Order: sequence, then C-alpha cells, then structure tokens
Amino acid sequence: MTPYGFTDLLPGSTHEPDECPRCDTALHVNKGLCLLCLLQAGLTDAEDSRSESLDTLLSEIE
Amino acid sequence: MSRRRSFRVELGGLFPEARSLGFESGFTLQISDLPPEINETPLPSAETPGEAAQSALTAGPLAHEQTTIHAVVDALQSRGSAPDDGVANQIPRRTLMIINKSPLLSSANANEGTVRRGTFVTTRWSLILSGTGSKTKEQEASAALAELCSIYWRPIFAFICRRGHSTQDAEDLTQDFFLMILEGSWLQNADPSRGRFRSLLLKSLKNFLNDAADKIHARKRGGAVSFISWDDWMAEAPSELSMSTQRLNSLPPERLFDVRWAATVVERAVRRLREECELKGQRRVFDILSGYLTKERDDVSCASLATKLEVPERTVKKLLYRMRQRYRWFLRDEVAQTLENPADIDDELRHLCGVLAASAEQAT
Repeated sequence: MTPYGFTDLLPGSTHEPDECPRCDTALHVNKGLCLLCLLQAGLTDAEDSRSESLDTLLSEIE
Repeated sequence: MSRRRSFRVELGGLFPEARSLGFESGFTLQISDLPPEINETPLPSAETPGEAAQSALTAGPLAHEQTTIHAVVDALQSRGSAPDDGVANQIPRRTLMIINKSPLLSSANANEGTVRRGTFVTTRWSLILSGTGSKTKEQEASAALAELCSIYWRPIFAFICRRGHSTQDAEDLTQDFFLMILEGSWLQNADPSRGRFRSLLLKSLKNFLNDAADKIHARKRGGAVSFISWDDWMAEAPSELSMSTQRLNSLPPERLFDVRWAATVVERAVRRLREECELKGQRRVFDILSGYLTKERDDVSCASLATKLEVPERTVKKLLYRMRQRYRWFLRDEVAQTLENPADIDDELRHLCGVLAASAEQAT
C-alpha cells in the first residue's frame, strides 16, 4: 500500500506556516490559503442577482 | 459530450402532472409520475428548443439554472405537457429544487441561489437516513454512505493516529471501521435524531475504538481483511493542510478530527472551483486568482493581476467576484451533503470555524 496521502497527517511532515494577517491562525491549505478564512467565506450571505456566471466569464477569456 | 451528467428538477406545483423532472446528457428527459411512453420520447435536438438543454447540460452542474428551467419548459412544451406562452418567464427561480446532479451517487445540492430558504433538499446524509423501505432506497443510501466515507476518511485516520496508534495500525483500524460502517448495521441504526453525519461518525468511531486492541490482535491473527480500495481514495488529490508541529501535537483527538473535517470540506470546494476553471481551459485563471479568494478588496492589485492574465482590469474584478461566489456555493454544498437539513449549513460552518479558532488559541 502506498503511504501517499497519509503522510500529511503525521507531525514529521508538517512545517511551520505563517499566521494569517486577517485571523491570526496558521492553518493553511492549497499552497498557503488560510483555512479559517476560506471556511468563513461560506458564511458570507451575499445574494447574487447578476446573471453573468463564472462559467460565462471564463468562456470570454482568450 | 464527454462527461455524462444527470439532473433531476422538482417543480413547485407548477406542473401538476409532473412532480419532478430528470434529464441527462444525451437528451433523455425523464418525468416522474408520467407514463413510460412519454418518458421514452427523445428530447428535441440541439437545434430545436432543446438547444437550451444542451447548454445547461454541458456548461456544468447548476451553472445555468435559468437556462435549465427554460430547457425543461421547452422540453415539456415540445411534448404538450406544459402550458404555452411564456411559462418559463413566469417560473420563479426559487421554486426550483435541483435535487440530483450525479448519476452515480444520487447526491443532492442545496443551492442557496436557486432554492428557497427552508425548502427541504435531499442531501447525501438525508438520503442515507431515509434509506429504508425499498431495495432501491437502500442501494442509494449505501452508495451515498460509501461516498461520504471515501470523502471523510482523513479525519477518521487522523483521530485514530492521535489516539496513539501506529500508522499501520491506524490504517487497519480505519479499514475495519469503514467495514463496520458500510457493511454492518450502522446504516439501519443511523437515526435522524442522533445528529449530523460528522458527529455521529465521531461518536461511532469512539465506540469502535473502545476495544481497538482486541481488533488489532484479531487482525494480526488474520481475523480481518482489507476491503476498501485505498488506491481509489488515494487517487483523490492529497490534502495540503499544513499546520505547525506544535499545534498538531497540542490538539486533542476530537479537535484534530474537526480540523481535518474542515480542511476536507474546504479543499473539496477549492478543488471543484479549480475543476470548473479547467473545464473551460482556464486553469491559469484559477492558479493566479485563487490566492485572492479571501483577500480584502484593498489587498488586491487588480491592475497587476490584469497584466498577468492579459485581460482588462474590470474582467479581473468580475472574475474575482464570480470565483468567490462560486467557491462559496461549492463550500456550502459540501457542508450540506453531511447534514440532514441544509438549513443547518451556517450552524455547521460556525461550529467548524469555532474549532479552528479555538485550535489556534490553544497552540499559542
């Protein structure tokens, strides 16, 4: 069995990430994104009424 | 179309003859409670009113709710099953519940953008909890449970490791725990009143580990076998959660479980956003802008990003806004899948945020 995927849980494989300037936590995912800030983003209750979607925008970029 | 997707749309009483609609790529429309001869009628081709359907089906799940609604109405009208003239425009977007986007998992989505608040939407967890009474329901529930387990194995494994087991023993115990969950009577005992998937899983895990030593001995005597395809689970991108050794060592098992859970939810949401960009051939947009998903407006130099992306500054602003919206939707959807009632999304998010904040304080 490959250990790939398990090692990120072991203390020896972790490093010392910087604290987030916004929330002062030091838990990061995806190459430095703050875990708490990303989670809190889900709480932002902004109703979206504009019709232009991300999908449409991406399609317009060459 | 390279990817096969299916949708089922429940209508808010607008079409009395059809309680819900299902359609999938290949232009097959299935309307619940309608005779088979109607359901066997193929959808119109892409050049006819069904063109909207193609757009909806190929553009990504739930990306074009309005288009989807029109496509459904077009399809109904084409077979004389819907009222004429401007019906689509009369359908309030919020009367729609898109309750199934996956042909394999029968999972569900709670799209705040299209679902009326408080409206019940099937989630994986609610599907599991209701998975009794018929063979089909039980199969759907089992598939949904297996899917949730394959997503949330890391918190389980982390918890077992933190309880002091070696990596090898933790792997074996994780296997055995899921064996119990997926093939035992756990599903039948998953009473809705017993809580959310996360809390119920943790409670079950604690009980399971009470006689962990006996289980490990039994395994070493050849009393258990691995049945879970770890390779399949490993095929998912590895977690990139990073935390200090000091913090990791200071976390009690329960808190580590929740931290890993939060990381799983967030990473899956970010991954779905990345995949959506990749589907449009815009991975570069994701790579450059994803670092700004949570940045304050003042902290973002749109001019600099515009130069990098070779697009106008206003496009960068739009992209950032849309990416944040889309990420938020993905995140809430991931959380919703572990809840019986999507109305509890905010409570669950607050709980996880609280755990992360407390974990940070604990380590300082």
